Amino acid sequence: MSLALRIVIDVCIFVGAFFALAGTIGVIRMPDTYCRMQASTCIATMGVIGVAIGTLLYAICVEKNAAMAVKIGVVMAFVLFTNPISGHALCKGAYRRGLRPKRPMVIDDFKEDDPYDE
Amino acid sequence: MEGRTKSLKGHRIAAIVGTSAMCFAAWILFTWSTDPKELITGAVVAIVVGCFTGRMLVKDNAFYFFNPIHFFVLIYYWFVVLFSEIVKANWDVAKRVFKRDMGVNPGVIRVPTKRNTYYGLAFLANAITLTPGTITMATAESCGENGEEEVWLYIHWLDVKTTDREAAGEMIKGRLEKWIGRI
Repeated sequence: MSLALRIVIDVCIFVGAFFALAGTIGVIRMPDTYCRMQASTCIATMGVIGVAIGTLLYAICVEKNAAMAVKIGVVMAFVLFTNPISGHALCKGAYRRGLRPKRPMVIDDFKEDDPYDE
Repeated sequence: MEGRTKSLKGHRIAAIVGTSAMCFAAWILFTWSTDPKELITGAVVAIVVGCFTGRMLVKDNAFYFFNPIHFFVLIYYWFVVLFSEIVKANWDVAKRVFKRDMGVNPGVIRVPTKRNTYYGLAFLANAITLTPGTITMATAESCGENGEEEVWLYIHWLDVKTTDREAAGEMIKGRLEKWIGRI
C-alpha cells in the first residue's frame, strides 16, 4: 500500500469521525429536542459518508474485494435513505405530542395551520 | 374498455420487468460473480420479487431509469449536488456546535414547492432532511386562491434567517429543487 493512499484513507475516516464527534457534542449542547435532532443529522450524513468512503477506498485499493466494496456502498446508501424517514417521523411525532421548546420559536407555521389537526 | 385493460396489463408487465431487471442488477453487484448457477438463482429470485412488488413500486413509467440520461442525471445529483450541499451544511452545523453561543435561532417555517410527482416530493423532503440544519416535518396540500393545487413543506430550520416564506424556500431548497425537477 502506498503512503499517499494510506493518507487519503486515513483523512476520510478522520473527517467522518470528526463530524460524528461534532454531532454528538451538538446533541448534548443544543437547547431543545428539534435542534438536537438537527445536530444528530450530522452523524448520520457526514459521519457515515466519511467513514464509508474511507473503507470503500480500502476495500477497492487494498483488499481488492469488489463484493466488499459494493456492500459498503449499500450500507451507506441504506443509512442515507432511511435516516430522513426516521427524522420526519420523530420530528412530527414530538411536535404532535405537544413538545415545545422553552424559548419560543422565531416562527411557527405548523401551529398556525396544523394540517393534521382534525 | 378493451384497450384500457390491455394497456393496464401491459403496464403491469412493464412494471414487473423493470423491477426484476433492477433486482437482477443488484444481485450481480452483490455476488460479483458470473458463475451460471449464481446467475440463474438471481434471475429466478429477481422475477419472483418483481412479480410481487412491481405494481406497488412503479406508478408511471417502468423504464424511466433505463434511459441513460435520466440515470446519469440521478447519479450526478446524488454525488455532486446533494453531496456538496451536505458537506456545506455539515460544516456550518459543526462550526455552530463548537461556538460558545451556538447562535441557534430555531423555527418551523412553511415553504411552498411546485407540484410534482409523489416520488419527486419524497426526494425533495428527504434531501432537505439529509442536510443538517433543516428537517422536513410534514407536507401538506391546499387549494390556492385561483383554485390550483399548492404543496407546502413544513421545515424545522435551525437558524431562521428570514421569515418570508418564498425567500426562505429559495435559501433552503436552493439547487436541490432544480435538480430534482430535472430528473
